[in-house]
Amino acid sequence: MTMAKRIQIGIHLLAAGLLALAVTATERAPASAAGTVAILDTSDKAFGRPLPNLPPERFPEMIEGRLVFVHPFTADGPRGLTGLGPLYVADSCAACHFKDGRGRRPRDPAEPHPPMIFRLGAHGAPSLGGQLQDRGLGVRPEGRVQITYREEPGSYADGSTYSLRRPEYRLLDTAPRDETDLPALAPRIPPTLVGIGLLEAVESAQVLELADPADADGDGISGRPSWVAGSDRRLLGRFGWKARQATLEDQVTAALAEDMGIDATSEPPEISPHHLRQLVLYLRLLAPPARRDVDRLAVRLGERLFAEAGCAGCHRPQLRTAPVEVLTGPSELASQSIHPYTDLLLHDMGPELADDGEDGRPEGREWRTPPLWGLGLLEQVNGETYLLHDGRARSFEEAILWHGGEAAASRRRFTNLAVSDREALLAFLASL
Amino acid sequence: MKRHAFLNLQLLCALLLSLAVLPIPATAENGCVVAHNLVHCPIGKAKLQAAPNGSKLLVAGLGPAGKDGVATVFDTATHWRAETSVEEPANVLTFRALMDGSTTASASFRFEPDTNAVVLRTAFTGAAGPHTFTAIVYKDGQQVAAFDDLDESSSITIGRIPPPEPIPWPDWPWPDFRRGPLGSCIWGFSFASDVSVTTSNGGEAVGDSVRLVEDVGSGHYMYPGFTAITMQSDAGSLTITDEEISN
Repeated sequence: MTMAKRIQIGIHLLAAGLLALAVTATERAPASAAGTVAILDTSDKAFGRPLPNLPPERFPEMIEGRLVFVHPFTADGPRGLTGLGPLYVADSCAACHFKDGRGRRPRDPAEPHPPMIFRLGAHGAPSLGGQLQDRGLGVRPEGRVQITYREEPGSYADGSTYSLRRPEYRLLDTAPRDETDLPALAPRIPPTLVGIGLLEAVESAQVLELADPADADGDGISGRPSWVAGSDRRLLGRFGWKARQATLEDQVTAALAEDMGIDATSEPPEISPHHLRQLVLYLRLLAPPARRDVDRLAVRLGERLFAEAGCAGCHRPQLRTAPVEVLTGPSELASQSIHPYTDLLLHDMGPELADDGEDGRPEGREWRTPPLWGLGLLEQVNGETYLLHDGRARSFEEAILWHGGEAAASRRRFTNLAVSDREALLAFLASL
Repeated sequence: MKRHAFLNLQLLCALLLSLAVLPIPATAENGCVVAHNLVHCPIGKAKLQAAPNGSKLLVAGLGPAGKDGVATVFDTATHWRAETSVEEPANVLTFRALMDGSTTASASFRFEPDTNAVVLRTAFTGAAGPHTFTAIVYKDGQQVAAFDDLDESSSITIGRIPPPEPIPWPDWPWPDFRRGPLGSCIWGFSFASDVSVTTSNGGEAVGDSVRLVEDVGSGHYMYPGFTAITMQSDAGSLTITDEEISN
């Protein structure tokens, strides 16, 4: 692939994601959300700070992990950070998780790859595996994806109009193969990492209390746990857009393998257990950002409307982490009241957001409710606000308008709001 | 250095400089050169000329606004130091350390004709809120004083002993920048002879070098190092006679 072609695709690829779901619910987030372990910072470093209860004498541990996070891996190079490729998508964690945040569009044409990965079909492709690898070390990359957008107009109940853009993907530069072998593409934006250790520290039982897979209460919302196989028992999946990984270590291991071609499970592993532990520890200790402007009238009104529209039914304002006696991670994560705005469950988001190629398990229409903490700082950190799992939404407003399935009622309530109320709800989201 | 590696570094340079919104067109053709085995790119209207063996770098075209200069770009480092000389007296010399295109710390010397001294100001970015730092004065490698509770509004006045003439200063300090063990940023400046150091909160000492140490507290940002250092001045020209990084 030529650099010019890489640049072309890079320019078309977008970052960020928001899936605001809906049910009727009355719980409200405290004004101080995102919790006592949140840090108030409105700079471009807002996503990269340690938990405020982490004592400075432990900073060196986290710095070591951050070095692993930001340093490019090679096939054979310094620091022991090797094992890259031969096929891969990115050469470092930070290349996709920009400043510990979401993937973002390249700022410079020289940036070699887009901030998006593409899963391949429900079961992968026979010749390409489960994920497209668009870079290669001494081998031919598997291809690249061209993205185009089609504008689709819509209107609110008050007559004002909007336009959503629908993405279309085309696989290019693949080796000649039978047309029937071409897989459906399932795009994924690398998510923000803030508070990810706190989410791991939430006890499964608490999440399961929120689940209602058969919609027994008849509110139109299901909420299904994603079960993944553990070594001796099934575990609650909680990481990834489809909640397919139960632990942060599993998530990191999967990302290393699928995005960087680094096998942490081989014998010997391609990344040392020490470096893997450093990396996981670093991620576990990243703090969520504190909310801003919580006393603004518009924000307070928006928070109420968020709940009234049913958004908080899935974007749960409050969870609690496990006590230290049962916690397996760092003690700083224990017994914290957190405000991530997620229930960590899978919800049917309707056909509009469904993965064409992800119709296996979980269903293509199902997505794990993504946390919303840090949402209002995306612009500051990433320099852009492109939302949803594939970056199609160019604003909070567009992200809401893409919601379907279990969230269709909430979207409808949003579109029926007066413009001032819509703006208040968006102001609330910007405060997260 | 292999050409492809050089080009990659140039592209990295271009990226960093464009992200930092420095006033240069950041392209691979903008006059980047290698000296001391490090890639340097011009800032503003500066022109770079490296000695044939790369042992010296002349930075010319440093205009009176103090915005022109040079950026040294590298892979993540935890320590950088340089030795410089200027031919003509200068009024301003500014350093900035960058990581991921963002400023991690800056330090600026500005000549104040009224006091016949230079005023040093610094800014650190690791704290989630207002930052504080400590100024430590050394003489012959031994600490002679430490002044804490300095913040972003603080200034440190550096006076020559005895007071010089003519003004402004021709002999600027040699800079040094490092990441501390807890993730703090540390500026160091070594002077050719003893100077008086007066902090805006009343500290006074005499020494031959000053170190500015960012205080580390709750939620401090985890800079793993830095990837570029910029120097900007109105000196007309300056020469980097020695420079190195480590990590």
